[in-house]
Amino acid sequence: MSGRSSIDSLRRLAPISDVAAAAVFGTAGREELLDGVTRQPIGRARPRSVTRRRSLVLALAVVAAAATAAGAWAVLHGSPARETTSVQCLIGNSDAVIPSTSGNPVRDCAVDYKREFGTAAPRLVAYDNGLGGVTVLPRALKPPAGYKRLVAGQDVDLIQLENSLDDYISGLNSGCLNAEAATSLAKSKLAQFGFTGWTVGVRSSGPITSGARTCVNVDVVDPTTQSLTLLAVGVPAGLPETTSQRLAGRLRPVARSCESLPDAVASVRAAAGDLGLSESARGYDLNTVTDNSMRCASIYETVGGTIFLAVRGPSH
Amino acid sequence: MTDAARHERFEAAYRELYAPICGYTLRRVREPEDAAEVIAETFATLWRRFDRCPQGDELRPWLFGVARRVIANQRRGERRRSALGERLIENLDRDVFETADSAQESSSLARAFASLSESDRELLSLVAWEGLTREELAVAFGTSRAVVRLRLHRASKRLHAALPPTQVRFTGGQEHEWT
Repeated sequence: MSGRSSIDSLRRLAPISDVAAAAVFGTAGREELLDGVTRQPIGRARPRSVTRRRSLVLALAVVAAAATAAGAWAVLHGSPARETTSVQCLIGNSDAVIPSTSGNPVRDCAVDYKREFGTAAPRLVAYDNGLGGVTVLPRALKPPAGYKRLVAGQDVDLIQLENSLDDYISGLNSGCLNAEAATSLAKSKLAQFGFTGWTVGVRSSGPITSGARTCVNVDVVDPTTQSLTLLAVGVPAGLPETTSQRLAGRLRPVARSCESLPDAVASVRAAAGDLGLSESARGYDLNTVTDNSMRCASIYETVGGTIFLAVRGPSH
Repeated sequence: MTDAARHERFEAAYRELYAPICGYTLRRVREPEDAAEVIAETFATLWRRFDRCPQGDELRPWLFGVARRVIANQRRGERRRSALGERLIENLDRDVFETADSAQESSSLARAFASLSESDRELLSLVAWEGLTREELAVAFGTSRAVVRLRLHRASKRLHAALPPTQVRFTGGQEHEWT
């Protein structure tokens, strides 16, 4: 038997293919790891910290570029940290990066801390960490060199834009969109949240492995260049419907109706409960923000380890 | 190279190598938490050393070498749980993982392969599963092509010896010559 056929024989022993292996942690896992890795310092290992299990949503992929351009950006537009949609909560031994919800990083970290540990967080302060991000620390803790107190909250419109793009209910993750449909959706979301003059582009994230579908479901929002880049990625075909997709299907009619915040929250809890998801068991994280400037509540479902449901709307 | 250019080049490499590194790792590590750490640490190493690591065709085998060392550290007992690994494990699709994990091969070839030393299995699987050539093996192991040739010869002989008489023989090939 030739060397080639012997290789083929051994190849059949491989317990998993590259395509299946990449699917094990999903598209979200791949993108979140990329985001996390490229936030690391260059040239040296990052000090280890105690990290509790916490989900991370695909954060705004502006950090590296923002860090480079931080000087000019700070002069022209204020802190680049304001233009992020995630926040690092460093409270005691807990180190978590969470998706921004309200625009107030201190509030978001306090809510998350309470949910995670069942007790109120100590008094907190939000800082621009000098690396293009926001870090929240206990007030009693002296901030590291380079940290500057954040004078304004994070950009709520940007947070909502990001959430609406990543959304499983009616955003890029609501189906397998082609470039044309994804571009149209992105433009409508930009207009909805008042971002004018932005450019929208689509590019491939790399070679699509055979057997995979091509879906445009990743977005890179860069306020520094006012550009929104959509990425076409390979998604393994034939995977069963996930719980997050089923939940999105149930929430679609709720999101289309015009409900107050309390009614929308009740609808969300009912839909999640129908699928056996429990908030107390951390089957999902529900974040609510009262916004009486809105007529109807918005509901966004994003996924990053757990299901994040963000509901924002009027109190009645 | 500017930071933006570096980031762009890294992202291109990451997207090209993500699936191969996931495959490499999940073919060798049974616990998904450990696999996530290996994948995360491998790409974190690539990010840190991106300016000094091989580029072009040598990058893929070099990165397999990085992953191999991370796995070796795990097997020596250095287990860690990093924030980066958490990013992956919290997206674990257990159904996909368990489907792959349940695919057990019980042929005589599988038994013979399992009886080999870890280093022999690693060498042979880098050829069979990762498709590495001798030149790429030399990069992955940080050694010379001659040493790779010798080690491959010995590993294939040991596999041959572990097989029943009627099983496959490793008598050399073309692109992937074994002996």
